[in-house]
Amino acid sequence: MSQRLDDLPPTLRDRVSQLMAHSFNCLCVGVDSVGRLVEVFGDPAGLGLELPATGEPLEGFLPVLTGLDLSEAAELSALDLGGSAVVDLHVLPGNPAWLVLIDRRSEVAASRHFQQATNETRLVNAEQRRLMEQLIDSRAELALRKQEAEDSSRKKTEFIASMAHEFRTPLTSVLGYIQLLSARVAEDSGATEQLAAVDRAARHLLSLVENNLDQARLEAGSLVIHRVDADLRRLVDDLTVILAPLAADKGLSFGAYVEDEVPQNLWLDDVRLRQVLVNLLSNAIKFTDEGNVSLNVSWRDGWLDCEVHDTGPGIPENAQARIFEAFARLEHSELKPGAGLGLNISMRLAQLMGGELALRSQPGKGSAFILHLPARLARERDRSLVHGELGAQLKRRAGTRVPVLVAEDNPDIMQLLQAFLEPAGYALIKAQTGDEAVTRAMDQRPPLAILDMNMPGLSGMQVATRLREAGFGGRLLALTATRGSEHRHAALAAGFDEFMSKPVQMPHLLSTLERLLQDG
Amino acid sequence: MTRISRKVCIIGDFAVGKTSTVTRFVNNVFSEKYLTTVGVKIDTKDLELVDGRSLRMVIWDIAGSDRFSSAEFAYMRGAQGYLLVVDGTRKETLASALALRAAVEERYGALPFVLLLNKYDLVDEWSVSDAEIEALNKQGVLVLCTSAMTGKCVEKAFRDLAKSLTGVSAA
Repeated sequence: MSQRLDDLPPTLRDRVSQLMAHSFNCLCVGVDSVGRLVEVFGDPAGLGLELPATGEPLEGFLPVLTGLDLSEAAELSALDLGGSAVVDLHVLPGNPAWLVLIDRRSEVAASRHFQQATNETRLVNAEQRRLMEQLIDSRAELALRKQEAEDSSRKKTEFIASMAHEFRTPLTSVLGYIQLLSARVAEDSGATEQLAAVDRAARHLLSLVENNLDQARLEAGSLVIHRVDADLRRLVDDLTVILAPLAADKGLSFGAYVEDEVPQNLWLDDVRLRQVLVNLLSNAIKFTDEGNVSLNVSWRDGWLDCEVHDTGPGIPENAQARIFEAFARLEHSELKPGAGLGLNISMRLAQLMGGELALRSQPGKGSAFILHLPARLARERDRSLVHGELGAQLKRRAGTRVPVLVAEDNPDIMQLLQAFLEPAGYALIKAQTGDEAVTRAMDQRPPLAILDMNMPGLSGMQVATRLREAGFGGRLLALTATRGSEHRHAALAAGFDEFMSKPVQMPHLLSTLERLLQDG
Repeated sequence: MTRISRKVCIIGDFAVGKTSTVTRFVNNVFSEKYLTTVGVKIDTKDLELVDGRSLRMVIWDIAGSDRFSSAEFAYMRGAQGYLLVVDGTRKETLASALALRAAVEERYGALPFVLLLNKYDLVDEWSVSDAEIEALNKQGVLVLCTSAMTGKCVEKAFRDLAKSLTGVSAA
């Protein structure tokens, strides 16, 4: 090409000299005003191009000319014209107009290599950014879903707790009045049986409500274990009071034994222990048609064993694992009432308390459920610090009514308590609000006060706190539709001496009041 | 037969599938391998129009970029329409495309164009939302969901552009 530069018209020669290095392959194409080839300098084939004969239209061979204004100077770099032609194109207007095509194949190839790497890196970065954004979005979504699930679970638990609370208050009335009516219609065996049926149904309803509440709280992880100094013998006595009559109704013998080596006080959650044992013993009574049901409590090296034994039908080996699952119902149990939650709750409570619940059973030979719990020795509680002024003068004397303050806003419950307490030798001082309870307690200083926890105005908890602050020395019993060891723990911390959940069995209430008086 | 030629450009951000779209239209093939375009690649394709004429589309496939320099503006000179390509899986390429459109209109006035939402074969991974597509439609933008891999709507995109250039449908 260099030797042919001299052949170019002078103006084009100077321009081409400026544009190209001598090593470049260059093609100069002259085009007239209607797009016909006028003249060519250089080798088209060397650039990978084919051109028409002189005088023929050029556009069909060089499509780059489409839309190109040859009356204006232009510089277009790195044009891939198809085939192997990659050129820089310079348009030099004039007559003819000159197209100067400079071969750029090697430069563009090198540039492509670099650009390819750059773009691929950018794509990888963009993909990483996208994945990171997805990850962040996913985490946010997950956090939102988790929050929603927790909110939903909390609302469910609150709803169930609220419903359970709402159920307990009327059930307290139902069960209490059944007991009252039972005493009055004792001579009518037909009515007694009918009342017993109503009583069974009401108790079943109560157990369903409470089991559902506990199941919801276990699922929500909101059930907390509160260990206290617990008197095992007193707890077993209470169980006997509650369950022996049920066994007797079915003609079963019932025995509860606490071995001598069991310490008087152990550090455990007596509310949850009581719940598990009530459940195990109730089940044993429910599924045993003849023979006996027994509870044996032993203690060794910091571990408490409570074995509930029955002479019922027993449980086949292949069903023994399944029986602890929620809503599990064995074939022979379908005729018995229940939702299949009790054993599952008992097992989970045992685990929450750091122990386990085991089963030993053979079909036809009865069953034994063994509750194995850690229970270290507890300190003796020094009650005299709080209740030292209560003395022997508060012991009930024959013919003398013991005053008891009853603070309760529900008139049915008030009437029920009155129906039981007055025949048992108590004189009621009634209060319908928390404020009234404080006033009457401080005016009349009864040795006993039964306080409903949810009253208009001051709550039972606030009443207890005020009374203790004011130096009230009587025994305080919390009576509430709320259940759970954490509530009991809070009540005891506020100054209550005992805590009972509605519905309470009246004999149990009376024995508790008696015990409170004696302890004082 | 009368033959007319029209220069059209295909523009958009890098790796949105411009070259693959042209290759699908011109040669009806597709390669999974990504090859960067440097500068511009010029191809042609003849379409028969219903009025009996033949349209030669001279397609300038301009290297991907999210903004134009003087070189890209020079490539666009003389174009009578363009295809604006977006990668449906990369939301940012829609913004790039709209910025390019604005730049072209500022320099050369409103030219006919078709917006291609490409990579429809990966529609499950698209990050361009239906609402954004709807908004473009409401602005009067002709939007086509295309796939250079499957060929979906590629031919239609060029034919729609050809009709905008000539006022006549391709046969």
